[in-house]
Amino acid sequence: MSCLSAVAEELLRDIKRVFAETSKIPDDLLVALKFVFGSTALQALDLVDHRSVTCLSSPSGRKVFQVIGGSGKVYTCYASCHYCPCPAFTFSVLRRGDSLLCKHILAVYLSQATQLSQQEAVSDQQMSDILSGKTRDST
Amino acid sequence: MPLRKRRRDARAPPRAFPPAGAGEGAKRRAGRSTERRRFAEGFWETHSKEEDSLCGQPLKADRQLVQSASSTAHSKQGERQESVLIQWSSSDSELSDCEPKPPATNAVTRRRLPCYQPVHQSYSSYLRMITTAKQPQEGEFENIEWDSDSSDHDGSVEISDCDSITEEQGDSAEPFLGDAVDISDRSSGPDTTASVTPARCDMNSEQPGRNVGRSASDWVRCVQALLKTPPKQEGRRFRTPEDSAKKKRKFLRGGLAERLSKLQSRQRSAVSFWRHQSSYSTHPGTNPSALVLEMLSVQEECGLQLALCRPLETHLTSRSLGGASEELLVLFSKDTAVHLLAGPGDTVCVFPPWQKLTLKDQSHTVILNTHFSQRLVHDSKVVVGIPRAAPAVCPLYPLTRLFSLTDRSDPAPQKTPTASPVPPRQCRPALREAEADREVCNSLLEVTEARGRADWSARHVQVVVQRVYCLNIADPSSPILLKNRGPQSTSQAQMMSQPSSRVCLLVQDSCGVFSEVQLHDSLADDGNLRRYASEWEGQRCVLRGVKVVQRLTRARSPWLFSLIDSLWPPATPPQARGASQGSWEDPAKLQAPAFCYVLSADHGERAVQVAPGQPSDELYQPAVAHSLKEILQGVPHSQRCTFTATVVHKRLKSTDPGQSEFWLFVTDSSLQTGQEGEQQRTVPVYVSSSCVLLQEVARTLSQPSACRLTFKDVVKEHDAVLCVERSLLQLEPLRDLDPSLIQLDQLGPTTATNTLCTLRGVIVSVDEGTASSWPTCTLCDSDRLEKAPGNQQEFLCGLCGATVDKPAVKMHLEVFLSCPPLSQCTVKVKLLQDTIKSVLNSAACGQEGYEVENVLGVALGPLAAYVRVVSRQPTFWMSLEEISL
Repeated sequence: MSCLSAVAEELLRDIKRVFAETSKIPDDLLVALKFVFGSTALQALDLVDHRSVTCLSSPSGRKVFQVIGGSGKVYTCYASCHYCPCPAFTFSVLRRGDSLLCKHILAVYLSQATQLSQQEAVSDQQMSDILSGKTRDST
Repeated sequence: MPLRKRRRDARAPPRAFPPAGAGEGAKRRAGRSTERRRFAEGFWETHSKEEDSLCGQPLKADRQLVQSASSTAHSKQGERQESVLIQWSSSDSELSDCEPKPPATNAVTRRRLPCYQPVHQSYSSYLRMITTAKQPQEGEFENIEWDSDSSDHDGSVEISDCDSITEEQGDSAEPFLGDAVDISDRSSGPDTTASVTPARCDMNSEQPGRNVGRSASDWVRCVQALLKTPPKQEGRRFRTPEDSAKKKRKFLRGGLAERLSKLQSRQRSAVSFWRHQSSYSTHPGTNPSALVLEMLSVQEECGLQLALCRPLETHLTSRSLGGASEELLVLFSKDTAVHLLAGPGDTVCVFPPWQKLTLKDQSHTVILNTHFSQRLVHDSKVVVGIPRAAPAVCPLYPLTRLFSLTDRSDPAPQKTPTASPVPPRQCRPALREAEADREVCNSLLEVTEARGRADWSARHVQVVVQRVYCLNIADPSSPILLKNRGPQSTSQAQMMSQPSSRVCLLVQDSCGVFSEVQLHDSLADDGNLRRYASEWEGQRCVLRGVKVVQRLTRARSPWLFSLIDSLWPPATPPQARGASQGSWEDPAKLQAPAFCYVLSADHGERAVQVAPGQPSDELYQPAVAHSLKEILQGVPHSQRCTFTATVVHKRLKSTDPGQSEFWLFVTDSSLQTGQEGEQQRTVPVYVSSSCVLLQEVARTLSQPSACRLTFKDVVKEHDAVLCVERSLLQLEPLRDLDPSLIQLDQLGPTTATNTLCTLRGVIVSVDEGTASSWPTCTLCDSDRLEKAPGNQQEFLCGLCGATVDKPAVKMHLEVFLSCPPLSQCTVKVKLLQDTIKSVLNSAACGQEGYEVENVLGVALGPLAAYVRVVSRQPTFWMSLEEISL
């Protein structure tokens, strides 16, 4: 039996496809998003509305996402796996298994699907600092 | 009669209830009068503290009481809550609490509530009496007992009735709320009253005697508290920005979150309404779109129940979804699962609206949005679910399993994470069979899609270069970003924030999509740009190492889109994406693009390689130069155009070649050869700071001589031209027009500011205030001359240090002219040195300077002038500055 993650992935793909064709997310996909992800969907969409997702890329080819959370805190999410340093991820996703993703990771996917993420290029040194957690705002 | 008076009137105004215990006290009729008096005294005592003495003014006082009480109570009549709202209670804190409380939780309240209901009634009838504003009947008034009045009060009679009832110990008290309900609803006769009251009065049987006086003051306190604005709760913790858990942010208006929130609330109310309705048995057969499914197995994952189901053949939709053999994965939300309480073997009916999702990898069809679901039993009767054992919980999916948002990549099987930093999923680039080079793609949108993948790498794409120009681009690592990235040296930040001119290309692919490619080369010298333009412009090239930098829209970058619009519709019909060679779209019907990606390419020259083939691609739309006349007449506003013209006058703010903004006045043969008055002779061109000037152009412009320039992709705006971003100025050899033969428009009433004109006139006056002359250095033109030490006849230049014995004299003279075409206008002209000299030569020079009278009447002209100011208020006057062409 397929996992929920496959369903989620397919849904995000659909959103991306429809958005590319029509530049909007129709109501039925929004409702499906809420159905699959729960309240995380609303919060993630709010982050997308506020353009809170930034994709940082370095010349070495590494990519990482930074999401400005509701409280203004910046969370660094990885492009290579589902991980977010926010407390919601630790509790809901890791410990309790209540959610597939936290709102930041979902916001990253939605921003990619709707191409509403900001793009920034950083140097390799900066990327290393971000990934190793040296910078002030990343956790 | 007391009982009669207790009758309720449903139309009575909002009532305030007197304090508890008003009625209890004397258990005997004999003691009633005493109790009555005590109650009345107690009540009015308290009340008279706020009001002036009520003695002798019972009516007025009551009215005030009524008003104060009415204002606190709800305006609705017979409201059960109202009767609970204005409720005396044991503590002050409860006074402001308007929620109806069950008596079990508020034993103290109960204690304080002796004979609440009859006292309430008595007061209500009394208040009713007052508010109907009719003259109280004598009899009634006589019943009122006040401090000094000896007449019996209606209420007091009621109280006495209550007293009598208090004796009876009825059943255990009903819930207080129920009492209140009864009180407010009851409008029947006294008999009912009598039957109901025992229970209520029982509540206060413990403290019969004490509460009369205190309860009156409590009531007043209650009313006062309700009238008062509740104080601000000091010490409440204010939400700090870090308190994100408790922070409730309003959604952005018009955003996706707001839209989903509205959809969700609508859906929630629809679901609850449906559930309420469906409890009256809804047969699935009545709804053709309903799914009837048999649950095979259930799992729980991340708050959702995943049920593998088999559609039952009995129903149309179930059959259409694949029949009995096809298994469906049906997802139920937690709320629905709790409502259904279904398990393996059960039959579930899912009513519309539900959603279907097909997983590409697997054969399962997934049903979502199953809020409208019911569990059925054998004879299709709806039953409430029997609790079952909790379904098995799915283990957490591996976090390395990413969501791939691209359709084309083959889904890789889940791999265990390796030590390498490269993510395990490998994406193969999309290929087009027509392409011989399997690494290069034909579509810019494919490149942009590639960045959505986890491990996207730079792509190669074949495009046609439409334009080559320079842009001032700030370095991406701006100081703002660096602050977030951690401790970086500020000097490094400052260095990085300087904008540099970089060569950019505007490219278009065969699908008609535009992109701007920023190369890494900065404009070291002009040679780069000219070379790139000659090599690449119009050619089909392969861009290597393309990465997406930004996505721009019309609103964010209007100048880019004005350039794109000038190249739209495309010269050849664009190929539809994903289609074979044969499908073309009609270019005339296409809409101009609304977005454009900004890409970056590899470093160095290998970033752009010209693809072998035709000398110029058919998609290329070169910038066609027109004459200024055609442009002024034919080109709509805010459109890009190209022309070549001679610069006759420059108004530079400074002599610095790198200076940002200035005006040029240009003309060409089309304007010069026209009839007088038909067309303006010169066109003002504004060069903004965003237009990157080539060094040779800047150098030439800083020189006073005339020059000829090609203005490429400049914007026409009304009667002027703007050089903005992505415009290019190129130097041309000076020919075709002799600067000395250039004609200008005649000065006239329609002359506007910031134009050139020619004028003739007679001096009628001189601006003596500004007339001056000063010596300047003959070598460097500086006016910082000082008397040379030693030799009084010589001057020392402060700038160049040269010794000057005969300094050049510069003069400033502004004269008022009388010009024939402008008899009503005052024309003031600032003259050039040569003109001043010629004017003054004809005048005699006295000891203290020239005589004004000698200058008046001198005819001037034709002069070429720049119109600085044209003012019609309060009088029509113009200020001009003579120029030399």
